[in-house]
Amino acid sequence: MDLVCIGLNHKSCPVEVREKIAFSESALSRALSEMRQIEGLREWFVLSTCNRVELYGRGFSGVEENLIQFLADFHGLEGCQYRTYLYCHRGREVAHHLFRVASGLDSLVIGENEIYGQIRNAFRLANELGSLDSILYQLVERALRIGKKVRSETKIGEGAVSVSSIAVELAEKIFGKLTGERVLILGTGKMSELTMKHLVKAGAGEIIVASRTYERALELSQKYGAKPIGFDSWLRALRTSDIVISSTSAPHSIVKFDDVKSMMAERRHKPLFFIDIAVPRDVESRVAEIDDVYLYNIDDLKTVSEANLRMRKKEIAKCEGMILEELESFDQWYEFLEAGPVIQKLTTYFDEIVAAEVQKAVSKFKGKEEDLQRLIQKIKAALLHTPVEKLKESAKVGAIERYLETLHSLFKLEQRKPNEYEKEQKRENVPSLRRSESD
Amino acid sequence: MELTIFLLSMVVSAYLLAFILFIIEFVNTERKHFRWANRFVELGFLVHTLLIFAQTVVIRNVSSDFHLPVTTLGEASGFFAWSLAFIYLILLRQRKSEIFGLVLAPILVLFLIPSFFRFEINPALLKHHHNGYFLIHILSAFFGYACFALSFIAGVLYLNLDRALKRKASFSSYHRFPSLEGLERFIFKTILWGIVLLGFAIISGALWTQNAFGTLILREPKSFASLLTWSVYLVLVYFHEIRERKGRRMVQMSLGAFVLVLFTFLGTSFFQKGLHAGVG
Repeated sequence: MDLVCIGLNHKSCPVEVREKIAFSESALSRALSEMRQIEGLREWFVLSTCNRVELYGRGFSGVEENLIQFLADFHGLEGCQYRTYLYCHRGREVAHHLFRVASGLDSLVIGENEIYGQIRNAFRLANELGSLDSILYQLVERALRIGKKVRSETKIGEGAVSVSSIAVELAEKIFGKLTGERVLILGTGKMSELTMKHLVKAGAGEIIVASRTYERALELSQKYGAKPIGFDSWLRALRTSDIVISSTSAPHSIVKFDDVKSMMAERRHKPLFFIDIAVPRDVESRVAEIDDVYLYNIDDLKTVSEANLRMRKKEIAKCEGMILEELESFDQWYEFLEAGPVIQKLTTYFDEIVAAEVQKAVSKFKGKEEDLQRLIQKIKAALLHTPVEKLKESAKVGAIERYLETLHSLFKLEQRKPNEYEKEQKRENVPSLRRSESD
Repeated sequence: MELTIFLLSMVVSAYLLAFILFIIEFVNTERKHFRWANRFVELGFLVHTLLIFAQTVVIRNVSSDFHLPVTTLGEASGFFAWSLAFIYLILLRQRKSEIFGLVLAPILVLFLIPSFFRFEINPALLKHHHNGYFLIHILSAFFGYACFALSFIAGVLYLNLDRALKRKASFSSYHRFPSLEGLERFIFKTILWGIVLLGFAIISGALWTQNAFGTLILREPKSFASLLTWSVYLVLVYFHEIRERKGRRMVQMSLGAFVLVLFTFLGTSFFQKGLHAGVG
């Protein structure tokens, strides 16, 4: 197999190096176009995310060196600066690696979904720019297929693992689809912003941001289409909110049991979800005792994350099995691909024989040309059926080479030129169909 | 009789198989059993429908040519299981979930068990089977109770999910549950349907007794218990929909109301004699 993949990822290389090698969106298109100049490269595809940069290609042997050189040249780096971090896969290992990447098994967070979309986007871009041909196209398509399959048939992608996505998942368990739920953000830390971003993505309704620094609340609000309020009016906003994300730097709790208790009666016990990611905590722990109030602090979220991660890890073996099945199927497809030109030559050879013999007897079939053509097709299909099936079978067990060699030597397919059969006939003076019939 | 037992066994087997598949689906990681589990519930329902049709029109031609199999406790219990499956499969098609099926399948089996035993027929009922009001009364009462039963199942699921969220249980223990608000909406929607259907049952029952006995209400425990059940559910819906009371307490109250359904449907049958004896 002439497939190759060079790259580096979060396991092999620190972020300081990864960020130098990563391709921005615009650079990626440029890189795909410039890769056309790489000697010996027949098709290519680039996957660049915050955790990995990988160049996939198919070409003549030694093309990996050219890819490494391209990566250095493109980013203006000395080759030796990052070479130690690079890994290189060849042949079927490329397919195996890409299938694992698409399934999220090679990700920083096992089973994460983002990589699937990133591969799909990279695939679309490469396809648009015409850098994919039949084999890499098939490989990436299969990678996307297995990525989808492992996520739907195993629990590898189930249960969120990042704090912000757990918060969204829990909110969805309480409220269902977040379409009209009002969110109150108390404090504007990094984690609050991330959680808010996830909630907006999940379709949350009105978002109110309260911060001791009004400018910061305003800035965040403008970014996510939220409404900023002064910190002194957060309690009023709490009455109409369904989800509260709290991450202030207050030295003591600001959300009190008594306030929430009386407020719940006013809310007629519509559920209220607190995500308290502040340390020290912003919400009194007794608040969790109130009916229809759900309180998760940072430790609770981490516990959920660890449990979900354990669950995902249990699924790895099952996913690996599914990946190997897909890999085997890809191997078969790839092996059979080698038989394509041979089958084509064999078909042409049969066509020539039939055409030459029919030419001799064409007058006998006057007025029945259509029947004759049908008959020819049937004979050709019958003749080719067994050899093609045999080739398919041998591709499954990896023994196709032997059969291809046999076909080549039996029918001299390598040296055969167009219309050679007719010339052979004339040379050897083989009795024609017409003559044998007249005899 | 052998045919009845054979068909009943088929129905129970189908529901049991569905139950096993729902368990596998719930516990296992592969998500391919849910469809088959639902197919078995559908198969059980179809065979049960065939059995009820046979009992209604063909098998039991006792005093009229039309006989709805609800004249004994066994028949009534079986017919209730059929109504429950009907509501689940036909009316709640979009809301089917593995957790719902997991709870429902064994309940269907439980309600089918009495159908295997012989109970005394209430002869007073047989002559009314051709009466249109009587049929509307029976059908709407059974479907109404089925709605209340489904709301009860959803209520149990709600409380479980609420407890899991409060205790910060592992996500895998409740990831197949619908959301709390989704369950609450479902509970009160089915209760609303139950109220409408039971209302129909009460009105048609009154019209039937007016025709047959010249009185709008039979002085039997079940008649009064039905009115009480209907009123309690109506109050619940009023508080939920009009006064907008939400949350766990409302769900707990709906579960409490279901005790009245059980009393009306089963409890009254044990100490009353009359037209409702042995009937749901």
